[in-house]
Amino acid sequence: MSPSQHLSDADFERFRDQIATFPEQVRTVVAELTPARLGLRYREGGWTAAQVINHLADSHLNALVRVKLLLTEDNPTIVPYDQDSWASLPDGRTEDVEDSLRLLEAVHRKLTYILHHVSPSDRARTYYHPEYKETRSLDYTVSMYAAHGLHHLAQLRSILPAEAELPR
Amino acid sequence: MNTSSAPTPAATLNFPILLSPEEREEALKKLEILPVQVRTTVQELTPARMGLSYREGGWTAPQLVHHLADIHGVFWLRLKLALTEPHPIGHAFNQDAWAETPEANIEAVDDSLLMLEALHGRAFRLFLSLTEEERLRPFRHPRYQRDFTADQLLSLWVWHGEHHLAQMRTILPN
Repeated sequence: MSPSQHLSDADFERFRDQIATFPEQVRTVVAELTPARLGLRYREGGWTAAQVINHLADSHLNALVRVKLLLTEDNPTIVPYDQDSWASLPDGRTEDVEDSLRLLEAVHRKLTYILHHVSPSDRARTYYHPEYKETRSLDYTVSMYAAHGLHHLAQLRSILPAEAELPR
Repeated sequence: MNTSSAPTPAATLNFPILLSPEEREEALKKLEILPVQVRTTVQELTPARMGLSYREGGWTAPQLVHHLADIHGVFWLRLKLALTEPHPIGHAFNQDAWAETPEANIEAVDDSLLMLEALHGRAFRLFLSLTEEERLRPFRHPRYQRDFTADQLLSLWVWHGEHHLAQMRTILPN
């Protein structure tokens, strides 16, 4: 879908519901990971499970900020960030992920509440991403972050099986 | 519409660019306990007082809690930006308009309390891990139009939290 395209109501509700249930899905996977596996990478050179979890909290906090900006300003330019540098900070690497899980829960509940209370015209409101040079609608943003969550959830699940040999 | 329209004294405050060991320890302690202080204050508010403001036209206790979660979320993003880029410009936003979006305009504060606790937990540990060089890393504050070091952001963060906590406490029954 193009960044300014609109979703059908059915698609919008589907993505909104994915956003609503996402933190619980991450919790379920993390509950099955032994602490030792939080330091494993889903592939050589990729992030560890802990980095993925900390990244999800940061990324989706950015999503909440972007949604609030587009609802309160006329096509605001958002602040991009270097996600690999963020993931390399001690905060991004820590295997103490409880606060990231809680941040993810709080942010998703807020996003879900907002998405239950926006009008069709709100859904067409936009922000501008200066790095990608894209004007993105709320509809597109919702679809993008729903997919972003599932993308990383699949990585976390690949670290799950206790017998899988994975790089540290 | 309730607003925060009173001018923010933080604009005129001078925070040290690098905190002394004692100042830093004090600030980190305050950063760590603020979410508990906010939660305790909210729990002491009767439902009838949740709709009251600390001053005529000012924010109610739920609006103050949502504001703290929102703004400390922005502080968090600015901190990580300052630590990963040379002299970035921090995120700008309209705080009065942010208080009017759907999730910020409700009496239920559970999500904001959870967000505040999670953010302060991460911020406490990240600030604690910083070297002196990292504590001096600057970002441009978009509203005040001047540079803040990471240590100054820590001071601003604590000041901001305590400023609004004091407002919430004035709403408590005597």
